[in-house]
Amino acid sequence: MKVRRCIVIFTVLLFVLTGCWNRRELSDLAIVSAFAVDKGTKENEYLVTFQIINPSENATGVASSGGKATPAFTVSETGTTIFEAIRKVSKKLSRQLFFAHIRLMVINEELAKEEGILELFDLFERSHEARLTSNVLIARGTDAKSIINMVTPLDNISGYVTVKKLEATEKVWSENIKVEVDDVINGIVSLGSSPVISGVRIDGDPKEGQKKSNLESTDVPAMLEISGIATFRGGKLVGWLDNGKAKGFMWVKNKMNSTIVRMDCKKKKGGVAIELTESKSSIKAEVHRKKTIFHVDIKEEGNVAEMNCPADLSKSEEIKKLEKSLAIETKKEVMSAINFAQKKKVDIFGFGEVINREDPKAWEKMKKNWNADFSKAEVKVKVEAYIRRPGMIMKPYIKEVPKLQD
Amino acid sequence: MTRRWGRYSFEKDKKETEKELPFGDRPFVSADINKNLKRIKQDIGNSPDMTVREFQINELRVIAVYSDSLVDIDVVNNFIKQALTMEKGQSNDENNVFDIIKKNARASQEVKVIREWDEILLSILTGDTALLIDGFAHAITGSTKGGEQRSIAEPTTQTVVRGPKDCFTESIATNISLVRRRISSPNLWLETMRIGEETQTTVGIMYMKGIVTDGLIQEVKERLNRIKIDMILDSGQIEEFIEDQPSSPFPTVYNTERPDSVAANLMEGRIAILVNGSPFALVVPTLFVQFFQSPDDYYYRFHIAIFLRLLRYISFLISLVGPSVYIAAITFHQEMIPTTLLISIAASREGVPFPAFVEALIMEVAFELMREAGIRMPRAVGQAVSIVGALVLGQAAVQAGIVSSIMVIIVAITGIASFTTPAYNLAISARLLRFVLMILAATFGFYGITLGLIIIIAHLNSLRSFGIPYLAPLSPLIPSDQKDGMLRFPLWSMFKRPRLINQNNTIRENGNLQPSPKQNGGESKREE
Amino acid sequence: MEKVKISSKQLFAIIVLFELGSSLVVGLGVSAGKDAWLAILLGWIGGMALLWVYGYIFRQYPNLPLTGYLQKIMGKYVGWIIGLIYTIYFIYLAARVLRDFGELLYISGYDLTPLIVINCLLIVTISYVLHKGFEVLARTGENLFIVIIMTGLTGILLVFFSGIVDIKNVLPILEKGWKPVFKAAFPVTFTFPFGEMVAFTMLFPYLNNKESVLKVSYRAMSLSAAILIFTTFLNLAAVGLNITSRSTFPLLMTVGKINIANFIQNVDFISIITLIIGGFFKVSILFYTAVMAAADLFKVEKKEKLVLPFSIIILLLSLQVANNLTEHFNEGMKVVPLYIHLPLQTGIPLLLVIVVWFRKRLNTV
Repeated sequence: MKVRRCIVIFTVLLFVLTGCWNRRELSDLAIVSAFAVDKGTKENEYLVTFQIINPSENATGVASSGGKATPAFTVSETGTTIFEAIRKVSKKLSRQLFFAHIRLMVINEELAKEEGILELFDLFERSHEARLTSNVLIARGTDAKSIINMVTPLDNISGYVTVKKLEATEKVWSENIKVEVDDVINGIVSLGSSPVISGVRIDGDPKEGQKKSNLESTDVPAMLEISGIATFRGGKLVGWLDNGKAKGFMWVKNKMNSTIVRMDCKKKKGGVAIELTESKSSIKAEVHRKKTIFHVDIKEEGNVAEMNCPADLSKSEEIKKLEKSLAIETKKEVMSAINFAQKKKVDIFGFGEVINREDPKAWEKMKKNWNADFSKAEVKVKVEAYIRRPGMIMKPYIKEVPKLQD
Repeated sequence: MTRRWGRYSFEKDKKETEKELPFGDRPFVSADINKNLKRIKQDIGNSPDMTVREFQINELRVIAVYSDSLVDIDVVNNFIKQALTMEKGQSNDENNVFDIIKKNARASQEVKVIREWDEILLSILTGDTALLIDGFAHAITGSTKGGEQRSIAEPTTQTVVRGPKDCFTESIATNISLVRRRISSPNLWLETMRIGEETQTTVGIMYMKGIVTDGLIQEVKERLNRIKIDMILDSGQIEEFIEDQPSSPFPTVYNTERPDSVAANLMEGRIAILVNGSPFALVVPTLFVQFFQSPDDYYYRFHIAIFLRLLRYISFLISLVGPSVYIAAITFHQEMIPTTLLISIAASREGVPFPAFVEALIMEVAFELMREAGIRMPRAVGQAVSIVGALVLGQAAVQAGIVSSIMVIIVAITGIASFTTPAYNLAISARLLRFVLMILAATFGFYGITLGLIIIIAHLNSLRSFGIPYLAPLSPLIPSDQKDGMLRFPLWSMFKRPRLINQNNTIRENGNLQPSPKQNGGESKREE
Repeated sequence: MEKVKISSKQLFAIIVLFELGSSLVVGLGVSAGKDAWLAILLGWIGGMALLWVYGYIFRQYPNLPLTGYLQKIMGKYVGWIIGLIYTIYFIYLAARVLRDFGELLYISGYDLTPLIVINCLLIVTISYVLHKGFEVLARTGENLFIVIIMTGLTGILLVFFSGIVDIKNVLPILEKGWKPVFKAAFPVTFTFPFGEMVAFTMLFPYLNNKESVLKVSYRAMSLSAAILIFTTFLNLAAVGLNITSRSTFPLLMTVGKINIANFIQNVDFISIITLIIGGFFKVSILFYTAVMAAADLFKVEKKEKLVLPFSIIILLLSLQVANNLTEHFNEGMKVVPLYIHLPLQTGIPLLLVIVVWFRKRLNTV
């Protein structure tokens, strides 16, 4: 019995005397919501900026300091690796950085063009705090630091706000794709596809956007705007997909959710707007000795959103005409995206992986030269478009406008 | 090995009484009534409630001794009249007069003939009347119990919404009658014994013969007989002597103040122990799941019974690990908390001077103080204290920045959750273990909590209550018992009694008792 | 021999928990690429065969544990020495698994706590439970089995609801042919975790119903194999081969990707709880079999007395086993399966079967 008592006492002492190592009080943590990577002033250095949340400005029902402070603030530091910068920041910050709630990483466009993004993501994999679910964006037209420094209306923390914008626009406009860190890593490593990252720019004056006064007028001087999709080869940025090309890309990748397609009608250019509700695409590969043929089949459905031409939608020929125009318009945009990718010699669609899935042996031989071979491949696009509903009315009022007799 | 002062003093007393022997032949009644009179006065003393009445029937002297405060005086008078009314001339029949009195007394009630002095005193002190007749070295005692008792009222601790509302009182006779009224079967047997050297408390064991395993009855009797102490005032004291694992924080004996609960448990093959002077009956053997069962589970339909049972288990878990999970999440695993919630918590914790663990400890201790004060305080002061408690601990502390509002919420939820456990003694275990888990959480986060829970589960598994594993029917897993374990299946599907507790007589009801709607316009048909 | 009896359900539960142990959370068979789950399948088939071997010997001597019938079959002295080797083997295995467990817990959240403290806590818990006896361990196993199943189901549901599962990541099947699959299955997935069932040969005599030993073990092994295959499949589908094969704790990566409505996120504790319960069981069973073997060999009456010294031995050994995580994994993948697991899990039992069979032949002749 004596031995048992000793053990019990020893165990209790173990708790009391030795202390707890991994304990971190909430008040010792600086919660990072986003961070930005720019080129540092010296060779081989990065300038890393962290956006840190100010809790008392954000919580409801808690007395804040009179609303003078911004909901988040940023702090920058240089370092040869990101981790070095993180530790160096402790010189400037009273708390330890906490990464588990980070949602956004912004990369400078020039950095992406010149040095590439290959070295930026190791931290996310290795550390158990940083999450693979963080989103990535490329800063366009400004440096990444300014993007993070913005003060945004409606929701407080610009890091989270930007991610929300990305999610929202991916759903309703489908010109940009939400990319997380593990998608980027998988894209970098894979031989059969290349990574893409959406871009973000500031619409307005960046300097105005950093002050709280940005929120004080009804006409907000500076706002963040998601814009374009960046394509990469070998980890370096090689081109931007905008507008129609970006949509085409989304179509092929089966990521198209919903968007508005404008088509011409007899009298007006762009008089018809079709709202896409569903879109599915599938890619098949045919490997022949000399070249490869890809078949992209797209099936989509939509409704008539706006009609400014005097066409009577109660007649099925009109509907069929619209469906045909829709298919043609879709094919046009898809081909523009594919041409762009083939010109730049980047397989952003993952055609190589399709070959891998369907014919692994052929892929083994082809994979080394794939990016070059890809540009020689032939892509056949077939679009089936259906317009299901014309909305709440059949004939637009334009048709009924009486002709004025002067 | 430990020498309780009670046991020690018995031996001391015994030696002393053996020395002084002023009355001749101990410990029996003497035939000489004068000697008896003297002895009564010496043994009982001058307590004014001990009444000694002398009668003289012709030349026969009889004394009746009873305790005024314990008897019903009408019954006493009736008894004496019955016993001492004799036909002419019978009182002079010196040899047979004892039997005559005995026969007459028997007409009115059951009598006992006692020779041992201690037994006579005992019977007087429990409300009997003793008749001592000159010339005979025996006494005739008759039962004349009476006196003020608390009437049967509503239970105070185990209340139900639907179901019988009578509860046990302090008199064991009333309690026995309450149980007998519910089980009118000849198989309901009762055995009594007296425990406690000075208090001589009557303790009764009730069981259903034919359902109970005989080994169990033996074991219970053995454990009760082993108790040698000077006083037993409540069933809780008996519980402490007969329980299997005194060092465990979990109770292995179930107590209840409801007769319907006792009756149901008896029908499952358990044994009930009733103690005179205590409205709480003990029920053995006990299973862990019993503490989560409330009588009204069985009086409702099974849907709500299942829901309530699950709710109780969840709230037990909350009351056990509530504050610990919060502490672990806030200090070790901040990534677990959703971002917006984390920001709110961080905001409310700005400016709080204590680390989370100390804050939790302060609030929990304060809550325990309030809870205890709530039980002890006189009714008149009740309102003031609850207002003070709510305002001070809740509002003012948060606004002063001593604790964060989240902490108050967590402590309040934990407190409320701990009240949903029907059995108070189990809720106490959760309260105590909560603090241990909090320390584990504060030092090692979730790892500590998980290890603590594993230890608790292992500990529960190692407990046995009178030979039955404590966590049956969960482990060892007995599927046929699951119907009344954690959930409650409809009554028409509970065919068998719990398997481990009774090996014989396991069939409870016939099969096919599920009711179904009427068919053919006739009466509701039961499938044959 | 203690008068301990465990029921078949309890045996089932503890076998499953033992097999899942730490293998659920590491990348099992990832050297086979996208076909890791096939490698596990092959390992399972091998494990079932091994079980048949153990069962055969058990049926000859239904009341003796491994150390017992070793002496009967191979003779008193040789058998005793082999029994001693097995005891050391179990201790070594317990220490290895403890080290595995400590390292995984370290990198998943407790990266500032010294390893000795993490391990010490687990050993203290295990000593407490074993002190109460094997029956308590078995019953606790029954309870925790339900906990793990529920945690697992919750995790799987959450993963599916987050929409991160992409079957295309697992296609094509057998893209590199059968060779890598075989290489991964033998000896790695075969010996870890299926071959470690040899520890249970010490525990079979405790079962209530001895005829059903094999049936229960087959079922339990199949269930654990199914769970492992499904989890590997899920890991590959959710995070992709790339990250799964390169990470030390793939389940944590998968669970880390769960994000439902931006509210339920970072539910790491699902994988941590699985790790703790699995690790607890594996180490305690190996620990207990070592104690049992030693008690049987050295004729010790009260097993509880051995618990304390063994716990200290295992704790210290777990720290000495390797200097860093890389060395530990390399040993575990390359050295241990070939040179230590194979002979003791397959070699010697096969030898025993042959000897028994011969003797029976000779006896009938």
